[in-house]
Amino acid sequence: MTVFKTYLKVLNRYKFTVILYTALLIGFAAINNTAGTGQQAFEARKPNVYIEDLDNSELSKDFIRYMDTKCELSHLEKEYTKDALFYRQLDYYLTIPKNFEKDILASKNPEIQVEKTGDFASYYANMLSERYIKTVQVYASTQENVSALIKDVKKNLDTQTKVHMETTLDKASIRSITNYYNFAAYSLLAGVMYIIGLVMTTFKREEIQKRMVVSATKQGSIQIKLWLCNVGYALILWASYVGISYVICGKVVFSQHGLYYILNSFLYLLCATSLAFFVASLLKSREAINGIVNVVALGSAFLCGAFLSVNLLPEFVLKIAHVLPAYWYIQTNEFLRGAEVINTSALQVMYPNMMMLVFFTALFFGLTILTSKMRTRF
Amino acid sequence: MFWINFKYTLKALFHNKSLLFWTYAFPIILGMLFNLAFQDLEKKEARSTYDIAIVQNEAWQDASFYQEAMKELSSGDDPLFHIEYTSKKEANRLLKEKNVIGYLELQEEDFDVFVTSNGMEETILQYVADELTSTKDMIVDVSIKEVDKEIKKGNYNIQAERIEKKVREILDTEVNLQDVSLDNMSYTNIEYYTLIAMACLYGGTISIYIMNGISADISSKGKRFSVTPIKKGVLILSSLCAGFLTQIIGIGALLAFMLFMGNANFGDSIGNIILLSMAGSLAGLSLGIFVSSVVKMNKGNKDGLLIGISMLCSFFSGMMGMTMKYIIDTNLPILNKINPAAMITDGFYALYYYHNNERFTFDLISLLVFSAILLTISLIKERRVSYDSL
Repeated sequence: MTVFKTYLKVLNRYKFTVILYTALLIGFAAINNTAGTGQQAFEARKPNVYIEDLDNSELSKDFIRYMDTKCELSHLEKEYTKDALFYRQLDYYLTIPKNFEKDILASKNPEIQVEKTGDFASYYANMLSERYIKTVQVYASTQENVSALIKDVKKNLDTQTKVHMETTLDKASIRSITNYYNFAAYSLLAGVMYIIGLVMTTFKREEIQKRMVVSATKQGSIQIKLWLCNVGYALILWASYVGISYVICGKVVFSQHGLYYILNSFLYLLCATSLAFFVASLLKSREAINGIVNVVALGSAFLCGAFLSVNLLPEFVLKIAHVLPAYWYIQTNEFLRGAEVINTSALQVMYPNMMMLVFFTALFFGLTILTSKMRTRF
Repeated sequence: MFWINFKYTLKALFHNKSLLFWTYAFPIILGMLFNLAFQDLEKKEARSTYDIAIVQNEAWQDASFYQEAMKELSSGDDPLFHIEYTSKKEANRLLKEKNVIGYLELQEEDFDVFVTSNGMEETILQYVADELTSTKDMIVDVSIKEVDKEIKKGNYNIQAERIEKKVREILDTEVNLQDVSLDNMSYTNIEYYTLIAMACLYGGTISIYIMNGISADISSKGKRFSVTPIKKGVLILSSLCAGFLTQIIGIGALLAFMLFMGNANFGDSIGNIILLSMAGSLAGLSLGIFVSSVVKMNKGNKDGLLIGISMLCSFFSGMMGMTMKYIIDTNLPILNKINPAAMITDGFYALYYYHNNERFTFDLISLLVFSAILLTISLIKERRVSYDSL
């Protein structure tokens, strides 16, 4: 009971940092959360486009109407568009020049200025603009009346290819839960390492060590109680994160996919806990804990794709990341993101990743025992 | 006395491993990680070649127009698609196993598109199918209209080749879209700016260390200071100047690392970059003094609190997702107006993207005001400190 009470005392003193890591997780998840609609129908992605119409003609208005059907037209104040373009909240800025309609009807090729971010979405918006202008140019060669021209163009561009979604998953919910559990790689590791490190080093302080040695309680018993408290804390932290994921991501957490996310995060928790024990066994003072936690947790988060999509990381970085448990954890999450069904072949992909987490857990526990024994001997 | 204390504080700071770690090593380690993680980010967001499949059924075998168009889209140096021509069953397998983003199946005259998600790649696939169909319709439409025109003119000797040539000419004319995008659009720079901001705020650990050293209720050195006849103001000022110098050296090293070994771009105004770094460092030191004076905790907890605040401020300024700063700026601007990390990040952003001194000056003044407010509150708190008994 004394060990447990002391543990709670230390935990209470450092609760602010754990709350902070949790707040970061909630903040990140809430902002990236896209509520699932439960529908599996195809919805074309819409780039964010700002159109400045200097012509204000019938044809330019029809151009805007067409773009509106395919894009999210931005209604930002013009002065804010530059920031929006930089931060990729706007993908494309299009200026319809003066005399646009007149030039098209005169079979000229008017110069249209565009600003783009250079990503997928801006490329698509550019294709849409090109398509409209080209269609107008072709029909303008046979048609001089603007209203008739617009009618022809509209009829042609209304072509809509049938798209079949070969999926049974609610992609928005899956995206939301994957982002949440990927970010949890950082929060879980930092939260567990920080507290376990602090508690273990607190109990290593010379005056406390001396008091423990002269007490009637066996050393082994104290150590076991400490380990149990740490594991208990880690489990409570993990259970709260699972609870929060239900609040943020919804029912998908308790779907078949969701249960694998939970199982994967549990294995990662075991790994994080054993890593925390190992780091704590190497340290004598509390001074270094903050530094190590930040370097290890932030480092593996950046290198393994907890904050950014794994697809955006360079190949060689991912190769380096193989030595980090977070890599195997995030790989499983990313696999679940696209897995249609969890069948035997899906499990064959996930099991090696999960086994790697078990391997890391065993490795860190082994190293902890080895280091502790060496320390006791010398 | 000023210089003696300055010299010894400097020495003490350079002997403190924990401070050196937070001020010098940690930001550079993170900078290295950023270099690794973000070097391909923007390249990977750009359009690339997509793997798709096309079902080779009877309709496809007869569709020479579509075959030609697809051949064009999948050839050249930078093709849009890499196409696998295959059976329906195989195309389905490729899609399920995520070897292709989707597949096309021609049904009589129109395409059916099969995908498994709503991404931009799938949207582009749908767009291409739409465009091919509408281009084909357009050629037919225009040809009919041209034929009608000729008949109305009384010319019954229709030359199909001439009409087709005319339509082709228009279709082959490049649309005059002038790309006037700016060159300085690299948004991963925001990550590097937030890193400097975080390093500036972490400098607060230096002022916490200094304040602990002169607080009689925290350290024995503080007890000795409080009984010396030297003015406390001189002690604090000289110690903080030493702290500021230590911090500036750290930020300078980080900037040099980013400029010469990293991928960061700060624009051309070196003078303003240095000025902003100094103002940021001052803000970090002020934050440390504020935490030290206002919050009554032990040494470790004060450091933990400061690091927590710095991390939270860095999060809101975009460290863990570049668009976070924009989201906060547009939805809750007040938060970033009082967030020193956002002020520093925005200052660097203004120098890089806008080359604009107005926005930069606003950020610089905001940082100075932020520092002044925290220092004033800390001063008021510290002036009231007296000890009944040591």
